[in-house]
Amino acid sequence: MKIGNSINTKFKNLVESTTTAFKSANTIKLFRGTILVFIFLYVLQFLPIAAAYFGVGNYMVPYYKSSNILLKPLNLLEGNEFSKYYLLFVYGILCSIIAFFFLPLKRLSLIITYILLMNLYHKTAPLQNGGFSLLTMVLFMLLFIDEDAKRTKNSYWRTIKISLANFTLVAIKLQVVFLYVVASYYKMQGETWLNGTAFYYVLYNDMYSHPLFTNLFIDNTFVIKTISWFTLLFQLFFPLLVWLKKIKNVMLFAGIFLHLMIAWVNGIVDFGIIMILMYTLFNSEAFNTSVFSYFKKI
Amino acid sequence: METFRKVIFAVFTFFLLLHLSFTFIYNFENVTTNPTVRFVVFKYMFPFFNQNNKIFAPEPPFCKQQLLVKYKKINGDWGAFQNPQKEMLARHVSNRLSPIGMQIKHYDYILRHVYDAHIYAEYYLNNTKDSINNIDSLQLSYLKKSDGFNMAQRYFSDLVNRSDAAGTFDSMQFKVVYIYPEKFKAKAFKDIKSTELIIDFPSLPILSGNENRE
Repeated sequence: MKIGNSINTKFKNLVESTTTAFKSANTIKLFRGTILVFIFLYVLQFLPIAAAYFGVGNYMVPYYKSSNILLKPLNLLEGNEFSKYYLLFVYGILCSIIAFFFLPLKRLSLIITYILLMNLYHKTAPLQNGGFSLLTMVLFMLLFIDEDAKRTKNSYWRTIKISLANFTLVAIKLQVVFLYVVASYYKMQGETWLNGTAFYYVLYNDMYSHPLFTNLFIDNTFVIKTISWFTLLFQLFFPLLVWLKKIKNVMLFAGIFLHLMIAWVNGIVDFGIIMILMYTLFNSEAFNTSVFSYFKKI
Repeated sequence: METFRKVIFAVFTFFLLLHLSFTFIYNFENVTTNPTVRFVVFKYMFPFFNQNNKIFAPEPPFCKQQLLVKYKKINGDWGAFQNPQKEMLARHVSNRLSPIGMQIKHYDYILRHVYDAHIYAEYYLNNTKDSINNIDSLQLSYLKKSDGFNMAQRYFSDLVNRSDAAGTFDSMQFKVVYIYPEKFKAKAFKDIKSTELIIDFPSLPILSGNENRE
């Protein structure tokens, strides 16, 4: 009877907290801000070479064969009709991100950023990695989070907006975790991750390695096996351990180390940075509030 | 109001679980092979939740691959094979934050298209009868059916047309090399034995700037 009551009370509290308060407002502000700054810098550095991928006579082959009606407005650059206007898409993203930070109607700026970014993303989809797919997905989900939902006057509408924000945040976190679940599951199906020699093949491939590391470690059994197994074990256990308060920070630090190495050693910089930015969501609201306040001062 | 909250909670929980289930089925192909389920899941996931989480899985790439190109001067002399990606990789190593990373991935993308065109051409060479007797001409005609191969031809034509040597070359030739290292034996890089798979391509003309725009 007591257990029943306890579960009932816990469920009531869960419903209450999920539908009446969104307690991660600063986390979302910080996360969205850093994601947008990353996209801004990414698109900016892309600018000098953008014509090769989006302009008239670009060096990309039509990729999507889907007739999905939802895809069309997000894939306008696939054909030749919009190629001559590709700079509108590129500058459009830069302008909409600036507008997000300095003008009202933030949600509209975010929607424009998302639509334009998806157009660039779909055109270059075969060149993108799992990190950028995650980024576009998360950016889409962020459209549904209104961190100021508590200011909504109508109580029913407020409940819906707060609940939507809370559930979407959970969905985003699970999506980040899911990336590791899938990656580790499929790595377990292979041979080299299990026998610890995967990093050897990575080091041998000059496209995914740094000559310094290749020369130093390619003949070092301890380093090769440690890094291969560390990567596999981290991806295997992160989805479980990141939810435990006591060990969460250890996992996040390990993840930051892993992704910095992926950026520097493997040269997959965008993936490394995107994953580190995703970790913002797993920090405490208090920590993110202090970081957010620091950035606001700047 | 409390009932309304419970209903909203239940509705959002349902949608969250549905989304997670679809994400699960989308990522793990062996969960279900039911075509209706997969169709519905794909319709839901694409384009907003499209994802590729198999990073270096199940295995990292077992070989390094190179797309080499050589150009023929108008006087008939061929130059040596060169690998433009080599310089890109060196620049990327010196500055990981430079946009050259995208150009490296793009070069790899071109290589994949050239290789795919080769597979396509080989298949048709072995399985169809054609009136063209010259094997190189026939292979080229099949290669040219591939958008990816044509894109590669434009890419390398533009590369030479933009260089100081523009106008001095009229043809080019690709070569794709796959280098497979031996299994891990804790050897220094220079001592690692490797096997190579080399794919030669027929000579093809360098396109002029106007042809490229067309």
